[in-house]
Amino acid sequence: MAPKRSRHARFLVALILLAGLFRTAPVMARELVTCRYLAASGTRIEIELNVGAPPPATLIVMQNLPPDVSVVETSQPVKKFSQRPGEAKWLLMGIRPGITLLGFTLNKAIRPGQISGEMLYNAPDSGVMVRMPFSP
Amino acid sequence: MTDELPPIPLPGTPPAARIDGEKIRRLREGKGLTQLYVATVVGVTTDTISRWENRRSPSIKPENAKKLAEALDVPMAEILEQAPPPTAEPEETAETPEAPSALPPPPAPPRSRRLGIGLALFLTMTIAAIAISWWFSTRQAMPVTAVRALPPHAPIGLPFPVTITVTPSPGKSIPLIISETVIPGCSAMEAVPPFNAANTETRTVRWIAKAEGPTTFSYLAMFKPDTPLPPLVPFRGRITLPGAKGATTPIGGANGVGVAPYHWADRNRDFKIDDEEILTVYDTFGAATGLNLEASMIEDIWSGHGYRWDAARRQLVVIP
Repeated sequence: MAPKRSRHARFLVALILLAGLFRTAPVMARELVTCRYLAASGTRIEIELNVGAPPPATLIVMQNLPPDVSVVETSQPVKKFSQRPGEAKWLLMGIRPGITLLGFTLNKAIRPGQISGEMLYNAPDSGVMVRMPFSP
Repeated sequence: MTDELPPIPLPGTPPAARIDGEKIRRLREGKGLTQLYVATVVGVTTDTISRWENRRSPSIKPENAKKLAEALDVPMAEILEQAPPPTAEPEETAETPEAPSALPPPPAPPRSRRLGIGLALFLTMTIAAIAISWWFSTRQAMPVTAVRALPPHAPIGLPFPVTITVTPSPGKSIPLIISETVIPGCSAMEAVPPFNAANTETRTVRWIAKAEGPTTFSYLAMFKPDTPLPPLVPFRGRITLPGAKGATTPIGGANGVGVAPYHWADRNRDFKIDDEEILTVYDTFGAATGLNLEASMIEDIWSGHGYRWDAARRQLVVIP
């Protein structure tokens, strides 16, 4: 009886885990914007933004940098670029659904582990601010 | 029953005959007749005969009086009461066999009065039905909602955005008039789309437009210097549908802006515009970006070190 009961318990646990997977899958699919590095070392950094629909009105991309590194050039579309020691921020507006590339050049070459970023936007349906970190 | 008297004698109807019940009883008993016999001859019930004899209903129909006299085999005059007949005032109607009470029922109102009451009741109900129908029709005639967005506060002299988002029912194209009124000391400036009318006396601005989907109407407002203002300046407006008589609905959403020496985008009043605040600016008032919002000042405050209020010059100063 004991082995049979154990099999039943394992089956139940597996069922619950499976149900949990199905439950979390749509939540993950609902991420409106995803962000990843295409290039995260050297002097040229590339970030890919994958924007769903409807897109947020405004998006902020924040880039953490080593203290002695600064951005010397940045690509379009950038509404506003702001730089402080160890930090660079982009205010992106008028983003369309699909892929948007954000590239910038640094004054010094960096290693992949030296940078990380964060993305912020207000969800169009709820107005709740979404803060999403990303790293190489 | 055929022996029932009508409650009210109609014109041309012969007057009721007032009979002497006690005499009728004496005559019947003297001739050895039963109430059943008399009732059968007259065509009424025995209860009716009993009431007649007990003088409970001395007034009966003339034809019944005639039949009663025939049943008793006496001249009709012999069964009539000797007292002078009453005037046109109707007698008790207890001749009706179904009336069980010993007390006479209250006199019924005149027919004309009953007709009047009925007519008044009918008219009242008709008017009520029309009013309810109109109320529902006006409610259903507003297939549009309007929501105003305002910043929580604004300083004197710095324009701030006001947006009104009109949302018609799905699939509908609705012509409408949007009216917005501001109080003295607050001015409504440029608008997107431009105002169709602006009345400086009533301080009311209007758009005449057609909404085919969610549509935003924006304008810049500003608190004038040297003008007394309440701590919370109210904003009032309404939507009117030209096609529907009197179909108006107030603009919902925010309806007041505080007067305070903080930038209108600085919601938490910390003399900075942080990430969340700048996102809110463009999310909430993005439709107003066609206006001169001085967005560069907002972005400079966001990317810089904040701002301060210059009390002497009554203006905000960006700290780079």
